[in-house]
Parts: sequence; C-alpha cells; structure tokens
Amino acid sequence: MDVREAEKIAGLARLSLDAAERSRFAGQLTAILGYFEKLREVPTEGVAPASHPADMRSPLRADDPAPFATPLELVARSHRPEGELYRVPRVLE
Amino acid sequence: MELEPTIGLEVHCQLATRSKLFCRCPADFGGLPNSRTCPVCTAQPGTLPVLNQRALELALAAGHALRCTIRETIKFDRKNYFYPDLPKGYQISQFDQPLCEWGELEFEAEKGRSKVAKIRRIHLEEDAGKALHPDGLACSLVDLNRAGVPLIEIVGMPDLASPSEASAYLQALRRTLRFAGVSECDMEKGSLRCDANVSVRPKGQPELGTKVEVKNINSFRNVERALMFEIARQSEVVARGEKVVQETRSFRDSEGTTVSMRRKEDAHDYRYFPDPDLPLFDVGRARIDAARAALPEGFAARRRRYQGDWGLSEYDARVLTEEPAIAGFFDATVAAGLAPKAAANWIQGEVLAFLGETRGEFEQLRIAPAALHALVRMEEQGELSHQAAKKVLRRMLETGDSAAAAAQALDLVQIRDSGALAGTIDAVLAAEAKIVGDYKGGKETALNALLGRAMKATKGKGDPNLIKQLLLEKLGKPGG
Ligand SMILES: [Zn+2]
Repeated sequence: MDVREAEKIAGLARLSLDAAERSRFAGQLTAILGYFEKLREVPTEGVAPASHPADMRSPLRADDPAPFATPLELVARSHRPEGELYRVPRVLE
Repeated sequence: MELEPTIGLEVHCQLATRSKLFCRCPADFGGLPNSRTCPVCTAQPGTLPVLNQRALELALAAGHALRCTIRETIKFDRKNYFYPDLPKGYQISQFDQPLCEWGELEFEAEKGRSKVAKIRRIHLEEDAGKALHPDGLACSLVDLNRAGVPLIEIVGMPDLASPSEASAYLQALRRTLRFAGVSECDMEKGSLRCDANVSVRPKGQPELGTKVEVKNINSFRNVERALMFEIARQSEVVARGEKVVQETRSFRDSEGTTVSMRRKEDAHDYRYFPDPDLPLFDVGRARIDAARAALPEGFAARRRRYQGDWGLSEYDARVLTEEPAIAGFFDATVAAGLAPKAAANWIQGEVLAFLGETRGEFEQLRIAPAALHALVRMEEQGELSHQAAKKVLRRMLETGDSAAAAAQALDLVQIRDSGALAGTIDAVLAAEAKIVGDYKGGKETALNALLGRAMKATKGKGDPNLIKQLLLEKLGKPGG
C-alpha cells in the first residue's frame, strides 16, 4: 500500500495524519495485507467463507417495546446539547 | 438519434413493527425529539443489537408477496459512512447475503397491459435519524427518534421503460406490501421512500447508458415529475454530444428539477464488512414456510376472486381492492351473509361517498360489516324503501347506530300495516275523485298518480307495493 492509499483510507475514517504518520501506517498496513496474502495460500476449496470467528447464531427478541426511562439524559450528556436535540457542526446535503 | 430511458427503483419501506430493529424503543412516528432513543440506538459504548423477530417475519412476508427466493441463513454488515444522523458511524444493513433475492412484481404498465418487473433483492436495514439545519444557527441539530427503525430496501431491476411505468410499478408495490401487512407505505409520513436510477440510451442499443441516481422523490405525484425532468435533462446532454455524468441528484419539488448533490466521489466507498456484533442468523425453513402460510391474500388474487367467483365487474373488483381495509370490510360483509353484488354496491356507493365527503379513513369506519348486512335485510324485507335505506346508512356511518336504531331515529321505518294504510288510501280516493274517475274510465296510468298521492300522504313511509295492492283491491281493474 502506498502513501496515497493510506491517505484515502485515513480520509474515509476521518483521521487526519501527517506525512510521517501516513508513511508509517502505509508500511504497517502493507505488512498486515501481506499476511493476508500469505493466508490466501491455504487451500480453501470446499470450505464455506466464515464471517465471524465463532460458530454461533444470533438470538431474536419479541417485538415488545420498552421505552428507555431517561432518553433525554443521553442528550444532556452530549457535547453542548440544544434543548432535547444533539448539537453537531453544521452539515447540509 | 432516438433515445429510450431505462428506470429502476430502490424503495425503502418501514416495517410495521412496534419496536425498533435492534432495540426496544417504540418505532412509531411523532413524540418529542430523542424521546424514543436508548443506549443502543444512540450508539453508547458497550451496547449490543438484538434483532426484532417481527421485523424478520415482515421482511419474509414481503419476500413471499414478491415471489422472491429466500435465504435460510443471513448475515448483517456494517455500511460505513459519516453523517451526524448516523450515531454509530455505520448503518447495520445487509451486503452480500440479503434475505430475499430475485422476485417479481406484476403491474399494469398501461390500461389493459400488464408487465412483470424483476426484483433484484430485498434486505433488512435500520433507518438513520434526522439532522435539522435551522436558519440562523451555526450548527445542525440531531433527532435520533428514527435511528434504528426497521426498514426493508427493495431493489428493482432496471426494467421500467417510462415514468408512467415507474409510477404504476410503485403503486403496485405499495398495494402489494399493504395487503401483505408489511408496511403502511405512507409516503407523506416517510414510511415509503423511493429513489430512482435513470439512464438513457439510443434505441436498440443493448448496453445501458450512464446511470444517475435521483433521490428525495417525496410523493407519488413527483415520481413521474422527477423522472420526466431527469430523462429530458439526460437526453439534452446526449443531444449536445456530451456524456452523462454518473452522479446522485436530488429532486427539487418546488421547481420540478433535479440538482447534483455534489458529494465527494469516495462517499460511496462504504467499506462493508460483517457486523461482529451480529453473528449469522438461521432464518430456517420452518420460519420461511410459516411466513408464507401467514401471508394474507394479495390484491391481485382478491380481484380474480371477486370477478371470477363472485361475478363482480372489473371496475368493482378494482375499487374494492384499492385498500386492504376496504377489501377486508367487503369480505367480512359477504361472510356476514350479504350477497357480493349488493355488498359491493353499498360499499362503493354510500360508504365510500361518505368517506370521500368527510375525508375519513376506512379504518375509522363506525359501522361493522354485520350492521351493513342488517340494513340491507331491512330493505329486503320491506321495512325500508331503497331511498330510506340510504338515509339510514348515512346516519349509521355518522353515529355508529345500528340499522334499527338509525331507522327509528329518522322515523323511516316503512308502514306495512294494511289496516294503518287503509284509512290513508280511503282519504286519498275521496279527495282525488277525478283521478279515480280517469282510472275507472280505463286510464291505467292513473293508478300511479294515486299511488304517488298515497305515498305523499304517508310522508314516503308507506310500503309502495302494499299501497298498490290495496288500491287495486279497492278499485278493481282499470275501466272495470
Ligand atoms: Zn433504542
């Protein structure tokens, strides 16, 4: 992975990296991806792809509403709330 | 060069659950901002999502209603993007193993011509919250009440050839989902949302043109408007010898135009990966089959039944399958014992007219199917004239009274007692000696005039058949 790719990924993750960090992470990510390349050598014909490390199944729950007792406390704990609303830097589509 | 458009719709609809997809917050509309949130749907650290079983069942119902192939084991993935209405920084959605694939929807492309459009996939996902941008404020504000509300996204193949086809497809899709009980599909409330992929290509060219995604089509009326504008815009671009740019555009209702959303190109790089918080789900054959068995009869099947089995006209069958509530009421009225044709006439006539005038919803109707049947029986048994029955039904719709109570209150019960009518008839015959003379002189139609006088004397409440019979008994044959 080159520095330009590292920069793009950092941008998608909203991380601001300086030049030294970009080249350091590019090197580290290259090593990690290299390890996956090596894993790819393992013959996996006939093996179903695994999406989770544990072979377990998720439970379901009944459609039974139970309002959370103090939702506005969550708002109050946020950074500079505006009444019952969360405040964020201005965004417009 | 003649160009032809190709359209595919991506439709989001809110599943009719009581709670959210992965937490137990209520999923209904309204409420104070953020009053329907909890640590899960506001993405507090350490919380875990648990899937709502009903949401899965409703998504299965949608899959069956649209004749999809359904996957027995499903996976949820994280769709990563940053926007303040998405507290986790990702949306839980389904990427490569959606619940349903390869379905189809039959719809009436134009009067008398039906068409089948293919459904590419249906997947489950959670809704985002709402970001507000008040004027004069340097910040934006966020309400997370809708964050985590269960949705299905129904991705159609680009099988639609015109804006009117797209509109007809969306109407049929909405009706299918409403009859399946999957969703209210109310575009005004946002429980049905529609994005369109549109391209144009020279007629006969096999490969599709460059696709533009049109978002924010906020009403049924605007589906055709937005598409007509976008097709004209792309056609002009091509006519100028330029290339259509692949992009996302937003529909502007006030101007009827679409404008580029100018998002960064990499905004679509969602970096999907399996959600580690949600191991695989076994949907299971049994659950899939149970959802199929529980699927209510669709509107197309009902139309066939109404026309084929019950002999209703195509028009009647259409009106009665406009809404699931109307069809349900009609079926229940027939089940209560009323003949289908009579039930159809009363529902389409007085009942729908009443709802039209009062802008009422069928769901809020104050009469029960059995009450409508009771009213019609009163007419059949001669207790009410047809005109009186209409007035009585009107009162029943307004007040929720039973047929007997409404007829009583309006004093419209027909006089069917020959003793009570005899006096009135004698008085009429005495007063209308000239007409009686005409009748006796052989003028047969004079009987109708006497009948009219007698009806008037009873204020319309006399049973016309009985009065006629009594008149004949008293006068004998004309000319006789
Ligand atoms: Zn919640």
